[in-house]
Amino acid sequence: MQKSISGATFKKMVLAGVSLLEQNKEYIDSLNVFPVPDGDTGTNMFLTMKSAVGEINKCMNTDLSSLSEAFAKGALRGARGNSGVITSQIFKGFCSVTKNCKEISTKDFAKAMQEGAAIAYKAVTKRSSLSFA
Amino acid sequence: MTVDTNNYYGNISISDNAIRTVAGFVALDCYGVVDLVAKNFRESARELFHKEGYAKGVTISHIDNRIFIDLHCIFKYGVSISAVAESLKKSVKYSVENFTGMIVDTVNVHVVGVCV
Repeated sequence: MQKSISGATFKKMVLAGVSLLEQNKEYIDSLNVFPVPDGDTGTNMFLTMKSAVGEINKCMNTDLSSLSEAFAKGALRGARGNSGVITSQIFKGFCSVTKNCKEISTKDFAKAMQEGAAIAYKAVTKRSSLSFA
Repeated sequence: MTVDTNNYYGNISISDNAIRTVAGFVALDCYGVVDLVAKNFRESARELFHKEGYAKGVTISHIDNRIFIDLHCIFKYGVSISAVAESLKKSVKYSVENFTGMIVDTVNVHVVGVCV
């Protein structure tokens, strides 16, 4: 059983994830979700992930910390549409936990995913107290 | 000010405030947008006396039946501003066109602040 996730495993996971997303992007497109029903959710998400993978491939280091950072940066830069922005935020949260780790345990992985969800939800906070800029 | 249109049964006039409320509501629903704010001190002072609600930070102008919308927003720190602005423009244009049945010519997004 897998006890820990190293940089190489993370890279493999990401590449497998992206190819699976590519296979299923038409299905996600067909969900036709909020806010504009123009059916490009899956495509946007895939393009975001593709840009993130491009950044990972450019990364020279093989430790988990640098790879996840490159991945989060690539996702942020290449974000497309609402779904892409949300995906980039999930990986930003993930990256904040894996920072400075050469490899992580499965428990840490779960924690990183939870942090990703928490960071993604943070951008939905509404109405600041500012009245004018 | 109102935007006027007509159908088989007669005229329809939609007030600027109604359109501003719809645009503001949709904009606040957009991922990465934290708030809409009045564009200057005068608007802000006006807001003290008139409860603006969702219409805050949205300015509307129209030529004939084409609507031009300006949004003054605060974004969440860490999101891609260009991607959020793009989806904000898309969703506001879609919703307002769907609501009014008129063409939204331009949606300008002004990022006036970032919430950390």
